[in-house]
Amino acid sequence: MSAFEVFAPILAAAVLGGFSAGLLGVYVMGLRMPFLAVCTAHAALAGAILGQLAGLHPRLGAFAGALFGAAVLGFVLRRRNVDTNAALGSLFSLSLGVAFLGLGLQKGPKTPLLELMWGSLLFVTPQQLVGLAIAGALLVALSIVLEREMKVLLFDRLLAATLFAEAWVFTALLVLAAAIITFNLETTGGLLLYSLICNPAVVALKLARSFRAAMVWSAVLGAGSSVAGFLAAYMFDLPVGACIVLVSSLVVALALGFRQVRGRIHAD
Amino acid sequence: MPETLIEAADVAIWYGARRALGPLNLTVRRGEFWGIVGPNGAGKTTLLHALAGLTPRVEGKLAVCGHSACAMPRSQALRQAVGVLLQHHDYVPEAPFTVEDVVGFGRTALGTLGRRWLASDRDAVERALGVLGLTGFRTRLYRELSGGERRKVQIARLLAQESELLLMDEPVAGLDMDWQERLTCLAGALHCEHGKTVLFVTHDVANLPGCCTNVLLLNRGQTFAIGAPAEVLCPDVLSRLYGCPICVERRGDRYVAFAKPESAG
Repeated sequence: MSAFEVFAPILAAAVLGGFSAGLLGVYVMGLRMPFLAVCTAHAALAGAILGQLAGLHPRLGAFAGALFGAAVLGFVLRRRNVDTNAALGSLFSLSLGVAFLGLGLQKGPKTPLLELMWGSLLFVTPQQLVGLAIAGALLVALSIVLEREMKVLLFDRLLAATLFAEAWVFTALLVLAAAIITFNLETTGGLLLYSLICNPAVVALKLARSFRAAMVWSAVLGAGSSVAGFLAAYMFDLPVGACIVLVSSLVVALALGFRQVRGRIHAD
Repeated sequence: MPETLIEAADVAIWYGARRALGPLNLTVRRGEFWGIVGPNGAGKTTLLHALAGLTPRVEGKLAVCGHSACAMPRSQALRQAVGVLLQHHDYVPEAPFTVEDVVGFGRTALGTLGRRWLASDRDAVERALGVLGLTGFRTRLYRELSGGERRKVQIARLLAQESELLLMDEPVAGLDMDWQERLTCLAGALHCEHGKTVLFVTHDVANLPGCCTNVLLLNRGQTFAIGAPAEVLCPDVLSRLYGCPICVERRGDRYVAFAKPESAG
């Protein structure tokens, strides 16, 4: 097997996963739901475990669990007097309880299921690549077709409700988020994905001068952090997921530093 | 568009076991400017949210611009017909929305989700920016504007929506005196120059523009007094409403009300 054959799928997964996570991050951070990634990842884990108990493929169960979590969130958060983080916290607790119950009932090795939480970019399969590409493409399509509605949703959900059927747009976004998080689970892992969603978006929202630029910046920084993290891990023989997160955190630190310096120069 | 824009008959809104509003009867005709005044917790914002179709359960009959505001899901025609200026905006401060973006938000009420942006949309945004003197601000970031400038942008957003009925919830709250006066004049201009029917919620009757045609005083979710400003904005009515002695002065076509100091008897 040539080096290209080994590295091409890994780099493709890094680019696709980072790109989609970065793009999703703008919405997640814009809606002040940074906890969404961890919450949905645990809903997916619970789904995977229950799915396996029921004789299903873990990936199918994970997707069903994440979709179920997104649907529950969408339904609960239709009531605007419900605090978003309280709803996410409750769903997270429920998912964790179900996941641990399922793990307790599971016979045989539990490692394959727990790997969902950590992921492995090195063993990415063609099906995972296709899933990542489809989920990312759907998010890009949603961002283009509903660009204005999405902007209003991020600006103010209550205002959005006075202007259009915001509950449909919000639920569509949650469902796509579930898909992207599920497909990224096996490559980046549920816990590390949190950083890959939040960090590029934090930088992009702070530095961009337009919403469209923020979307592009976040997606590019997400993909760039993934690739750079993988290369760093390869060069120094370190864990891939941890390197991706550290690189994306470094990007946040550099961006904030750059912003401060730029602010001082403008002040002078 | 019907002549009667709001028809509320025995409208009541419950938050759990507590009745937040009603029973309330109200008729608003096209071309009127209503001031909605009352103490904290009187139900002013609850009323506006119900009229905007934001309240899931409304008892009684509530028709706005010929569309039921009780039926769920709300019709897009109702959303298009009613422009709403919210008291607070719960937005992420970092979000890089330009002034042009925010003014354009008003156009999302027209038509279906994801419809194409037409020349008429661009024209409406241009007009709204021009009327409010914001043409030079179009690429400025909303997050970099002052509180008064943000409200002005929101009013431009209302204009771009081109709805006939405007619901303005405390549009001058939290602003300095200069901006309070500027936005009060602007609200009056929306009515007098642009022919909008306006419901203007305020704590302070001094913020009601001179063109105000009707006043609804609310207290504990119910109508306390209703009528022309000269009938309603008088010391004895306001004193009973607020439970303390209130002085009212007429300044031109506006009213100023203030609590009488206790030492003054």
